[in-house]
Amino acid sequence: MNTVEMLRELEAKATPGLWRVHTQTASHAVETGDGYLVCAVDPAASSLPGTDHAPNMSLIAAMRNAMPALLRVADAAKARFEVWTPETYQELKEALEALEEANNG
Amino acid sequence: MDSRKPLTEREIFELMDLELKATPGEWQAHDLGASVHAPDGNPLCRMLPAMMSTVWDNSVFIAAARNALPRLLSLLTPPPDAAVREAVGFSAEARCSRLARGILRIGKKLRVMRADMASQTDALIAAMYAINDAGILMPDEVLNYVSTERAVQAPRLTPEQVEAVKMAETLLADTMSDYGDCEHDVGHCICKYHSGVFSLRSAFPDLFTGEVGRG
Repeated sequence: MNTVEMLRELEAKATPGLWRVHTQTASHAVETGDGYLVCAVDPAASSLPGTDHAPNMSLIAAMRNAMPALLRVADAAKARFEVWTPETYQELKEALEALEEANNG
Repeated sequence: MDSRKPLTEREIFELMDLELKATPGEWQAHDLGASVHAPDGNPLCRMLPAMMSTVWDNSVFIAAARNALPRLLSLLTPPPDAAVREAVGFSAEARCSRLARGILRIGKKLRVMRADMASQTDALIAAMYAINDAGILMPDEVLNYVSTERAVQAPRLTPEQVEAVKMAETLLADTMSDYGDCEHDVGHCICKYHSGVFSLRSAFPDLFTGEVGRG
């Protein structure tokens, strides 16, 4: 199973989006559109010095919401290279190959 | 953000920005999925009891998504500043800076296009390839993106758009060497370059806002 396949499987099992940063907790939690809390900054970590948890919470919500589109992009790019692989797309080709390396989670 | 729609350029940049700000390294699901940890073992977040039935799925997904995100985003890498400068600078040396900037704007617009504008995307892609084939340096990032977009979009050009693209391709490809001396505006000039741009602009008005192709 490669990374794209693994992500697609996990994405299907995860609580459906959209997720968002929970606004009542100073950006330290993520909730679903229905208001169910998905996760929050671990209390054991909340007091760690020099740690800004807001970006982590924002990233969790944003990447969950973007994942379907990102997976479609990966599919489209793969389809593109099955037809034609010009030299100018080498970087994209390498990025795809990296995604398709074996990944067991 | 609507997860069913393509990412907008703004959303892509926000993701990239968050990816850089977030805790780096391999995240891992811990404690039977009850939490997600950073590489140094510090807990990043704890899954909440209200969602306990899916804590494992969610925590594993969060860790995997975070770990794959840089590679996924690399498929949509926007032109780094240095690359853009190099592209525009190269074109300026070749007296093509204005067109290069126009192409960059077109590329940015393509990124925010919605699926219902597929026909316009495909038409512009055709024109952009013609421009590229004519020797104008096209940022690879723009080509990468439009080729990716193209793969998921079926051409739905109207006959008028097909004709406009053909005309633009011909005019633009034929006149790359001398358009740079023209100081007129699109729509007010009959030189082949500006006529070609005007043809495209007329056929795809939504794409040509701002100063694209202006002489």
